[in-house]
Order: sequence, then C-alpha cells, then structure tokens
Amino acid sequence: MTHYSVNEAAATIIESEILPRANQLNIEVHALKNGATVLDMGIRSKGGFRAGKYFAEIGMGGLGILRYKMMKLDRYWVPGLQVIADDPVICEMSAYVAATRVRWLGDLQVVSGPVRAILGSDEFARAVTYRDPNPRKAVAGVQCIVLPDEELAGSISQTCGVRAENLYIMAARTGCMTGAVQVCARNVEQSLPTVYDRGFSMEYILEGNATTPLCCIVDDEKIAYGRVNDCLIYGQEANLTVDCEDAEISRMLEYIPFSKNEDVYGTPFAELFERCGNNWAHVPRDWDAPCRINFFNRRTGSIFSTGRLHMKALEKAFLGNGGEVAWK
Amino acid sequence: MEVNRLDQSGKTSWRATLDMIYLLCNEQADLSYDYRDVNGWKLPCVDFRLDDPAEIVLPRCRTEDVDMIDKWQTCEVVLGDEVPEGLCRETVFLMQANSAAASIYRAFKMSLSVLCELSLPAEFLWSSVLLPPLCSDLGILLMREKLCWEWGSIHTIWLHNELDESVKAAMKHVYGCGELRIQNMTTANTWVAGHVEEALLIDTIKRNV
Repeated sequence: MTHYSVNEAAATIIESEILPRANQLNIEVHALKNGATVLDMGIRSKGGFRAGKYFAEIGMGGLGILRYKMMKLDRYWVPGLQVIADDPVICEMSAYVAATRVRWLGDLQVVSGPVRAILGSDEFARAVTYRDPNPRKAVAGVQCIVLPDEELAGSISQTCGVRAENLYIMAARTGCMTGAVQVCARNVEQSLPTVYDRGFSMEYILEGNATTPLCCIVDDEKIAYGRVNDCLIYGQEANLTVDCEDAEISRMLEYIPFSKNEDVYGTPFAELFERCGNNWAHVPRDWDAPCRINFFNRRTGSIFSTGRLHMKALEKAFLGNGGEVAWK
Repeated sequence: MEVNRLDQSGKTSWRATLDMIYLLCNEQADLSYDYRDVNGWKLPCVDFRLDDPAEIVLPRCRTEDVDMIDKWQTCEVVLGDEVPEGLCRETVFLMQANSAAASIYRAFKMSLSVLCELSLPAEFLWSSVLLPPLCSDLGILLMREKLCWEWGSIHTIWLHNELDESVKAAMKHVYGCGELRIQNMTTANTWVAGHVEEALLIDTIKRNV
C-alpha cells in the first residue's frame, strides 16, 4: 500500500494554496536564516477564518476537514465549527495533537502538527505505529505570542528529525481569529489522548468528528486562553466510531469527561488556570478533559455517551461582561 | 464581455452564486450554505464569513426599465432577463429578480449594509441569513426575504474599540436586522441587540405571506 505522508500532504497545501496568495489570506511568510519558513497566521498578521481553517487542516496532515457552523446555546446561536477526521488516529495522535515540547526562549514550547510523526517525538505520537520518515518537507504548528525564530526552528528540527530548511512553522497567538479557531478545532484531538490515557487502544478507533462553539475572540492573551478552553471543556462534543467489546468503552466512561471534576465543573478555565499559576505543568491531567464524547460501537451496535455541555459557562465565555442592548 | 447566467430555466445555481459572492468579496471570505432548525422546520441559510469586511465596497446601483444593475469593483450584477447595453465591466452576472441566486445575493448585500449602518470599522463579520421559500411572485418573495432578514438573520461582528459604550451606541443605529452581536476584542465583551423570532417567522411564512 502506498505510504500516505502527513507532512507531504500538509506541505502541498501550504505550497499550492497559501504561499501563492498569502497576502490575501492575511498571512505573512518569513524566511529564517537557517532556511526554515515561518507562516505568521496570527501573531503580527491579522489571520482570519480562512487562515484558521488552514492552520487546522494543515495541522491534521490533510486528513481532517474543518467547516464553520452556527451552534445553538440556550439563548443564542453562536459561531462554531465542526471537524471531521478521515483517519482520526493518524490525523490527531500523529499530527494535530499538541504534545512535543522543545526548548525556546529559556522555556518549553509545545509543538503540534505532522512534524511529530517523523520520529514519533512525544508519547502520543509514539502511541501509534504510523511514522512519516524522510518527508520532502515537514510542518509544525505553534501557539505563541512571539514570532518563531531560528532558535525555535533549530529546536524543532533537532527534536523531530528534520532539517531546518525543510521545515514550515505555522504560528498564531490564542488571542486572534486564527488562534481561537485552531484551538477550538482540537476537539477530536482532545478526545483521543484522553481515552488513550485510560488504556483504550487506538486500533479500536475508526472514525471521529466533533463540534465546538467558537464563543470568543479577544486580544488579551490570558482571557483568550481561558475562553477557548471554556469552549472545549464546556462545549465540545465528539463522536467516535469504534470497533471493540462494549466493556472496553463502559469501563472508562465515568473517567473521561471534564464534568467528572464536580468540585470545579462550571468554573471558567481562566480561574482554574490561575489556581495552577498559569502553568500547564501544574494543571491536573483530569482538567485537560473533553466535554462530551459519544461512542458508536460498530461491532455491537451499542451507543455510549459521557459528559455534558455547560450552557451557562459557554454563555459567559460568549458574553464576557457584555449583555443585551435595547434597540427601542 | 463574459456573461454568467445564474438560475436559468428554473434551475438553481447554488454553487455558482457562492462563487459570484466570493468574487465580490475580493476572494477574502469563507462562504457556505447551512440550515437552521426553525421551530421544527429545517430551513436553509447562507453564511458569509468575511476576513476583511471593511475592504468591501457596496456597489453603485442603478435601475434601467425593470432591470437593476449593481456596479461592483470587479464586475456588474444585473437582476433582469437580459444584459442591458452599455455595461462597462468585463464580467457580468445575470439573474432574474425572483430567483434563488437573486435572493442569496440580496442577503449578501443586506449583510454588508449592516456594516455601513454600524459605522464602526469591523475586523471580521459572520452573517447567517435564513433563505426564504422561493415564489415566482416577486412581491411575495421580497416580503419573505424581509421576514427572514428581520426575524431570522444573525450577524456577529468582531471589532476593536476602547469603549463599550461607543459600541452600544452605534448598535442602536442598526435596527431590524435580526440579531446583531458585536464582540469587542479590546474589552473582551459581547453586546447583543435584537433577537431571532423563529416561531413567528415560520408561522407567518406558512400563512403564505
């Protein structure tokens, strides 16, 4: 069977659809001294709906589709998105999951994207057998507030096993349209590592799709970070088609969703993050949990569901301290 | 001159209409059809997501006999049966006024008009407009469009403004466009004016208004 290269597919989208019209997409392209190419999709550049869609679909190695869709909360229809993953395990675990950590600016920077699949550069990439060795070009995604430089490109290059001159780095802040979209698109992405942590074999997973409300885009990075995570932990709903014994699913249901954290369920993520010193290293693993997952077991025909949406928390993320304005 | 005829022989050019609007947006948009569940009825809607709405200039409009001609930056749109003489753009889109293409096109122009009436520079726009059931009687179709606009359209605008009070004041100038929400990216607050009236909308349309 022909090898499908997530990096080749991602690079092809960049080269055929972004580079020829980057300006029109509100994306800036920077060539670094070590040969790497940075796509600024929302740091100094404006980005937008289309840049956000590209960030996610490229990040998924061409195996995922993102489409925008209005979603109904209790009182409001809000912007939202849907992700459909062809081969969710490769698409997410090997590519889109943000899990590889590299040195940058005296700290650790999390990296997502197909570049992780070359060596299997973190535990989630190594959880699957798929590897993408020796691609012509490789693609990384980073969520950061500083434009990637030679140091970051060098670190990714070294950790992931790709020459810097063959590397594309997509970058966006959280506090912009592109950033909000690419984070809210981490719905199937968030679900797979969670079930993997519970010992669920990735070989059971056949298909995945999910929706997330896109409640809020704000400049303030800290507020934006809280709100996009609210969208995931209180608004994301994933459908996973699997093939296994029912017991494999039922044994883990109560441990999966964010709602299992009854003591904090409903608290804005920004507040929870504050309690952890605004440092992911101190965030309990149970707090990085999907809102709701529905399992459709092809083998038995059984359907399971765990978790629930929190409309009030989502409405708060949508409105902030705003509210209704009387027209007349 | 290249003439693109939409909705010919009673057939709807859904895809071609979106292609046309994409061109009118200088290709800086993400456009799609969707549906919304309106009081138990799944009605189609069109969604316009614009990355640079402030750069789109509403067309100059003129009427010749029964035809309406909109002159855009890149093309002309004619609502009528034939292409009139004297058009100056190389690309022309022609559609009948009571067609689906025309209905979608008018929804697009109305969405842009919200930005004009708001008079605040918008960074992004997402308009979702319910599409009315078609009717060969243009008067009925236009009335249904008006209902869909006033009771079934939702507009989310993202902008930067230091003062929420200025945003709220500006919103009061935009009346009757369904539900208008402005997300102020500077203050992290969202303001909402109006609301959709889905039950009323479907009941009124069912009475064949």
